[in-house]
Amino acid sequence: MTEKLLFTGNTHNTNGPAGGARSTDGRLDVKLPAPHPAAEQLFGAAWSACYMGAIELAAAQRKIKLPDGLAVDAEIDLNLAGSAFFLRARLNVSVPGVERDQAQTLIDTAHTICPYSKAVHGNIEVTTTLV
Amino acid sequence: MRASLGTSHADSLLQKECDMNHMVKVLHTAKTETTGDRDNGTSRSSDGLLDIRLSTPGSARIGTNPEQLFAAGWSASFANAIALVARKRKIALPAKVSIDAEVDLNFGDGGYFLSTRLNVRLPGLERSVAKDMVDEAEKICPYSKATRDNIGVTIKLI
Repeated sequence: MTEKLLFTGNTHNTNGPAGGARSTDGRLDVKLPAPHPAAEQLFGAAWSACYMGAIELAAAQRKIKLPDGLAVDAEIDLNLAGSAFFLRARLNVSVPGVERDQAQTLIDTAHTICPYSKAVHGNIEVTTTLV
Repeated sequence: MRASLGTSHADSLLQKECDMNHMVKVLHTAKTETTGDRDNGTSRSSDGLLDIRLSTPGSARIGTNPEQLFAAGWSASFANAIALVARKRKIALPAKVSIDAEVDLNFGDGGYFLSTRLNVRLPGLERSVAKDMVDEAEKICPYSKATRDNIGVTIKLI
């Protein structure tokens, strides 16, 4: 199979007190005055949204009907050890209306599908909890 | 002399271990709550500063998407890393640092995967100095570290 580019997100970021990030289509426009911890919020939102899509895909593959109310609360830590910065993540996932074992399988499988989970695999500590 | 060398070596090992085990400091934790998915969801940070709607690229629904969010987050962190390098090296950072980021969502044999390009502008700095700063920033940026060897990343000084 050949690789297919599905989509490219483009942003323009600037520094300084009036700094921020703007997507080329104008749909994302956020102020990023340092040292506001926006990067981790943005990453949490990006990963969660994609991860939920992966849960839906895992459910569809297993013909499991997902009721409304799927939610992911993400916590992304920015840590400092000595002079080295690193990330750590906790994803708290709520899959209402699906049996617990099945829900656990879905959230585990989703990590093998979601491109953000794959991008950080083995590099940062990730804890996924079914709540 | 040997003993004192040994002690200092042990001290340095101990120091390293302290760094590894006890000196980890959580600088901050970002909390977001996301409902729906990348095509029709919403995401909000616990402090309310991030409050966005998600939509499929090109669709009529107004909203952003994970790739734009990740591009913005990574760039913001990378800009901080450049600022840190500048401070360490006592280099005055240009007023107009900018980063154009592109995050691709791709599909191939192994399923979905990401690839990224960061195009960095450091106007007014000598090219070799600027290139050095970008290389150093790539080593320390927590997002560069988090994705190392897992996705294709091209960082260019333009």
